[in-house]
Amino acid sequence: MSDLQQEVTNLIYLESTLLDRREWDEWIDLYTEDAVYWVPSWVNEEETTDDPELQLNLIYLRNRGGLEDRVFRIESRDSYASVPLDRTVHVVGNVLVAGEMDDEVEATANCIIHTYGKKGGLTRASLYDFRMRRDDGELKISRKKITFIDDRLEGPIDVYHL
Amino acid sequence: MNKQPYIIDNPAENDFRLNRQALVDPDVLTLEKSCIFDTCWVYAGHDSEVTKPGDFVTRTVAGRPVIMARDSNSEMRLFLNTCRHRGAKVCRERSGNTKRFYCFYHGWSYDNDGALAAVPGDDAYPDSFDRSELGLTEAPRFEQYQGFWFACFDPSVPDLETYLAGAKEYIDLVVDQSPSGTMEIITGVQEYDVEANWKLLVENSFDDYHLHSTHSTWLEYMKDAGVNIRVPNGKGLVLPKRGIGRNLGNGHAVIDNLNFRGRPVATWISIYGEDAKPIVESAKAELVERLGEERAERVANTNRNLFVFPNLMINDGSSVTVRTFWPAAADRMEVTAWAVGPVEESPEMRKVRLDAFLTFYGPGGFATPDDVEALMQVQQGIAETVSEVPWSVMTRGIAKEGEQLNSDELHLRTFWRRWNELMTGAENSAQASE
Repeated sequence: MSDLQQEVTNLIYLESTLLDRREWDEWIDLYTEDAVYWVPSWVNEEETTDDPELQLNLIYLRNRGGLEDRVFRIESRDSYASVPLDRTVHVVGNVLVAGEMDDEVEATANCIIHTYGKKGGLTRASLYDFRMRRDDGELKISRKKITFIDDRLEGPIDVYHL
Repeated sequence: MNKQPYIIDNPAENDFRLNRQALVDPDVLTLEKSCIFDTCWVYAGHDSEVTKPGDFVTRTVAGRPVIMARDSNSEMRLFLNTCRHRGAKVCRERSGNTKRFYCFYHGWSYDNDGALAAVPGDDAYPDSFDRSELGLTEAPRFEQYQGFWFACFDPSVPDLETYLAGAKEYIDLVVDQSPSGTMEIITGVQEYDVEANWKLLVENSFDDYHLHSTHSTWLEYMKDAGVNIRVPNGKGLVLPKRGIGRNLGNGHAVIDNLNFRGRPVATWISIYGEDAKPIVESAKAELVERLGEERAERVANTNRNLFVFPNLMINDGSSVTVRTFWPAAADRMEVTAWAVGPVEESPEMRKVRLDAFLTFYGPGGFATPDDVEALMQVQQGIAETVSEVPWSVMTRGIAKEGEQLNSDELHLRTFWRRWNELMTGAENSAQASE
């Protein structure tokens, strides 16, 4: 395995682990300041929204501040959708470095996310599309697109489900 | 179902109670399908979803699989999505453009105006086989108001505009945001299932009583972003007090509020960013120019959560959402929500609108997940306790003379009274007295 493949894989594994272990601040630190976080919606059987700025997505955050708002919400213990917090296990696989251009790396992965909470157990699956960039020598996530393969969602979603 | 009535409605005694069986009992759902969804005008879709001849979308309307199509002559059609031969769906895609709908089972095909076009091996049919009688079946009634299309499966009902009654005034306010009076569904849809009775979402979608207790994190978030979340008050405002609830007739109702959380058309708040300020201001100037000062203020600086009986919400606040929902079971509903904006909207404004939408609405928003949680808690709370705790109390505001606030429950009672009339066939005498 190349050094880059190893580094990218570790970063994706680390992100999932931090989400499952609820280490929110460390999780946010994996993202660059200008990181885009995008969960498209399905337009038809074949296509999702492809213009996040001008189409209706499930979640679209333009920078890390958007992720910080999410963590604020989770940590406030005042959002009843997140109290008690669902337990999650992310199982990530099929990590592939798709390409490298200038200072950015593109990578894809698959994720099975099992959630246990008030509704019982629930398993969802998604495709990950990452962009990563070196920030002070450290590889960070500059863009994450999460495509659920379900077009109709079972209940609400938040970052820990994704 | 216990032998008690669905509602106890006695304004003279300041009493209004709902029998919780109405939210739990599968037999009630069976009856709702025939008494309500088979007799009312039900939202089907929007003009903008099928703009070109041959465009179609498929979905479920009043429980039926349908094709909403614009035929080659640009006529809007609502077909039942079932082949006249042996019943298979003739259109299996969610959307597209076609001259013909084709049933792959035996190969029958239909023109996009529904006419039966081709039958493989039709020489085997008897002389009495009449193609002209075997076109796709259309909804008996299919009419639009301001681009919003509704279907009714009871052919005998009055027309849509009569049905909409006072709701028209509020649809007009939504549509007046557009210089040409044309709103469009923005590409993308949010679909999610909620483990709760569908009528709980009717209540929740225009219940301002729950805002502070359920959505405190959203309010904190807005405050942190520099938005003044104090509800405005004072003289000379468009609406009396801070917001009202109104009965609009035929079970429709609205909460009609002064804006405090920004509107892309057209009240700027800090969260939009300085760059958006001139765009919002020019949208407001356009409104004043077109509609006059007073109407412009009404459009630009008031919010409305409009309920069109039985299962359509148009929430026109920090953005506009059209939301409809269908009961998959007594304790489960399928929600479909779209974002709506003026067709002329600039990309800059569209971004603001969609940001505002996603911040509040949807399964990944800052508010809807807490609503969903609340509805699930109600369903779980009542499901197995109905024998011991049969009634919910819905009397907020009932003792008041005159108008009622957005945080009262007149609008909820309006829904439940109409629902009860249709379910029992009894005209409600209390309706007039409140």
